[in-house]
Amino acid sequence: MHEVVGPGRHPKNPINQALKAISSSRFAVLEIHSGHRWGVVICRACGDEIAIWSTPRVPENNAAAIQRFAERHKH
Amino acid sequence: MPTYEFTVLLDRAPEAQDFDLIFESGLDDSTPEIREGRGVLNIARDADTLSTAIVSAVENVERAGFRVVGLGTEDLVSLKTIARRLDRTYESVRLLAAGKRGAGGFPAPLSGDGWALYSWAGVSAWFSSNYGGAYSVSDDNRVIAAADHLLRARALVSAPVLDGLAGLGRRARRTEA
Repeated sequence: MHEVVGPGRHPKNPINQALKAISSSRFAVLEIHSGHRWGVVICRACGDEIAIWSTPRVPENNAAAIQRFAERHKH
Repeated sequence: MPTYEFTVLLDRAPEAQDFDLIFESGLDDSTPEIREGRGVLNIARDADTLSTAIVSAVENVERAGFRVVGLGTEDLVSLKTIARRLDRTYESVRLLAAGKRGAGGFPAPLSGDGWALYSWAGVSAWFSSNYGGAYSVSDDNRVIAAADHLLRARALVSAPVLDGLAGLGRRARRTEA
């Protein structure tokens, strides 16, 4: 498991956009590449995390969930 | 077929080995989250009704080896969800949000770049004041609240006790009739 230096490597473009939009100072994006889980976004302040699927049924919805997570974690 | 968004609260936080089973149990339309040490699934499910979406999601979660202990709601919603809740087309709502149609002053999105998300509380209040109607408490929110109470009740008592209490629902329907 290693930290992504820059966001935007996910194969689905909506998720790429969501990852690029979140602040790297407040969130860590970890690539996992294990089974269906591509990675995880972690709030650096509180440790909450949200999963990123490799092949979500609707990538736009996974992306929207990541954005909502970022909005809720404006510590 | 409409898309229904709701949040499922799990009895435990998923561990590394749980995620594949979650995905393969029909929850590839979910986004798992660990929130204050608790497991949460953000669901966006296509179904004929919200009730159908909730029941099918609970069945999927149990197949993945978890229990659902309650439901939550999201105030941050997409234009697609706004359109469905207001029974309007997506294009109609998009034009209202862009200020290209209607009274103007549509609430600004709360999210930044990427997919715009809006406060349902703000949008529903704007619609009520500009177009009339009581949009603030939607049928969706009532269904989710009822399902949440039923799931929490399920966690409190045994299955036989819950079966015995099911008659309360039938009595309520006879009272309304």
